Amino acid sequence: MKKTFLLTFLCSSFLLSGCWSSREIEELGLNVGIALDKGDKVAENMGRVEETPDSSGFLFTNTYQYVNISAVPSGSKDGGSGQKQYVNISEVGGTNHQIIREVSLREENPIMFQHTKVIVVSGDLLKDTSMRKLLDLFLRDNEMRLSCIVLVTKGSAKEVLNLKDPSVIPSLRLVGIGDNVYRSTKILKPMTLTRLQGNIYSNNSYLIQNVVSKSGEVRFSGAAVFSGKTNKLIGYLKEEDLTGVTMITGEAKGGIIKVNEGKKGRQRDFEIKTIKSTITPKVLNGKISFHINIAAQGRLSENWFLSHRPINQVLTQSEKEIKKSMEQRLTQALKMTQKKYKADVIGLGERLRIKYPRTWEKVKSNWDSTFANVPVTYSVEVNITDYGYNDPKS
Amino acid sequence: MITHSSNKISTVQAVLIVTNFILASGILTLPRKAAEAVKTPDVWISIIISGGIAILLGIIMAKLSQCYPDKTFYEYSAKLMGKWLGMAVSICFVIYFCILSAYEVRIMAEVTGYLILEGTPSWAITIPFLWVGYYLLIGGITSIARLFEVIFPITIIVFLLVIAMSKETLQLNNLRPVLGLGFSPVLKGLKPTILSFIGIEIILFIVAFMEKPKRAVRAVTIGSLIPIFFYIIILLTVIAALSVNGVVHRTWPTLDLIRGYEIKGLLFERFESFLLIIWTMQIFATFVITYFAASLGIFQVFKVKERKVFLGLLPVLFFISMIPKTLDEVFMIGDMLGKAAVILCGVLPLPLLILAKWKGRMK
Repeated sequence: MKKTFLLTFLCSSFLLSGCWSSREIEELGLNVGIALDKGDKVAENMGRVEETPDSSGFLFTNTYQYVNISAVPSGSKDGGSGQKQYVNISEVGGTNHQIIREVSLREENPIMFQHTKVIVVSGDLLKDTSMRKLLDLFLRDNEMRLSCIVLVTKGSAKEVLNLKDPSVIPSLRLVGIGDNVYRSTKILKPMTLTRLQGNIYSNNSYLIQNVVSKSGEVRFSGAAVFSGKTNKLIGYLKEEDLTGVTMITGEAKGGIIKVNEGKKGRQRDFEIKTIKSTITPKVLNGKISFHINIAAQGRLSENWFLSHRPINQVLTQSEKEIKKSMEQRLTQALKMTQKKYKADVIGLGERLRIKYPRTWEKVKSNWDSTFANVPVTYSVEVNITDYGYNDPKS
Repeated sequence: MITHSSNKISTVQAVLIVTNFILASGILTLPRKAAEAVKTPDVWISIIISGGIAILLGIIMAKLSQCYPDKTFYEYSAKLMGKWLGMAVSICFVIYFCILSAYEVRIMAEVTGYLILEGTPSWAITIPFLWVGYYLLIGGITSIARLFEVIFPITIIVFLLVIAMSKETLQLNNLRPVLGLGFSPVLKGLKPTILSFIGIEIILFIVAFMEKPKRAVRAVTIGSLIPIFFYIIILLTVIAALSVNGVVHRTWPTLDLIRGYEIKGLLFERFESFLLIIWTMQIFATFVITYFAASLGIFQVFKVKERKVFLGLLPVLFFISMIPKTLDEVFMIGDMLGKAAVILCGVLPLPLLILAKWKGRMK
């Protein structure tokens, strides 16, 4: 009898304590995305009685996007309620953690950052405040995961997290677009907090994908350039410039190279199957130079101009045109990074560090200005391996 | 039960005791400490060299113990160095093991308190841990060895699994160039990396329990090779994921490696709790073995009853673990322990071995 009692007691104390400090999922503010904008006192102060005194005078806005659990359709049936599946809440303040706690004055449930997928930062904010400062909390905190992705927007970050379509959660769409890297050369490898951590503390300049929003829709559009020394935004690369950059860095995994040689109606599309970039640094008598070789293989996927010539001639001609087109993109990418921004975001310094570590030690502290004047040559090899169900000849 | 006449362990168990003692809190912090000193991706070479040094020291200690095959260090130190000096060194070892034991408990409480059980008071994490350790200790060294046989395969499998899944986040360029700045950065890394082999000194105390004391050298060598393998994998993957510049600023870099990926389509998406589970098991192993070594010392030097020693030490360990107020103070204790280990396990054994051989020849 005594033993049974003891056993029951022990079992119940072990099993029942399982729910100790549990939190109901419906009562959690499950955060999926964060947007950082310049401070907007008027829009976000919600009629506070007193202004929070901040001696620095620096204010910015955080927008937290969390899942609206009551609106998420349960089961396989689509809800069709038309209700938005997410809630955005904005607060203004001087530091991230302070702003998070300001939300506690407005909402009964705490925000939980275990599932945060994306942080969108406004470019305007990053022009004068460094990335390290703005993201310090998220790199330090125990809730946020390092697999979270960072994006930059030229416009308002808050708007990026606001979609017209109520059936999708904007943060998840942003992460999903990033997975399309095999379909476009204009998508950079996602900048996770893990990668950003390394970039922030090194002197290397880096790129972060830029996302724009217009009338409730988003689009990945080019990239923001960050200076390695200050971690501040120094400018943007346009979508067309990005193709050249991803080809050099090897981030391009697939996508289309459009060719429009000569007259109208001669469009051709080359679909990249494999693309390989080899950067060879050279150091001769202290002079640094680079050679970039790009080798691409793929398919002639669309052809508007049918020729009467033999297939192999058509293919050689197309390869030539594609090569020329790719070379133009490389020239443009180098022009933008070397001449306009003077920031090595194409990984040449990285190759120098690996191949000539001792030379790198000498130049690394001032690499970006050295990079701006370093001679870079390139060569492109294009190989059309097939042309689909139709041959390119009439 | 603590006496070694009836309690014998096999060679494999001796290997596992050495391995499980060495693998401890260092797993999570080693990449940062090593990268801070080396500053190039060559940290993994440092760990191979310091591992070699550690094995050498381990062999010296094993040889020393083999001179008195059925006695622990506490027993033969008096014979070797005279009654008082021997006793003093033994007491140093007891204090060292006590602090090491408490340190491991505290690190465990810090990490679980920050990452898993936020809000749980640290005494509530520490006390059950201590009591379970006490319960295991009553069974003597054979129970400890058997537990290690259970947790070791789990550790290996889970560890390799969670590391392998980080594949996507690894950037191999972060590991290059190899020896780009020559060999001198590698040498700078020896000091912090050799400290991650603390635990090898347990061979001084377990040879007496081994069924075949002649195999002590083999036990200590294999027992250290396994941690070297663990450490190399950790250093390579963590540096590849976070880069040297990123690692030096992270408090628990190895956890960051696991927190840096999510696997879609599997039963679980995130795996840091798995790493923390095996890590906690390893901390428990180290805690138990140091607790055992400290109790053994008090038992053999002062001839106190074993149960009294076990029970009496519990509050002592608890209070020592509560002394540091901040995380930084905890790490400082870790550094102090490192210095103590250098003297006790690095400097002391070789002269003692020479002394023992000389005395043996005199007879």
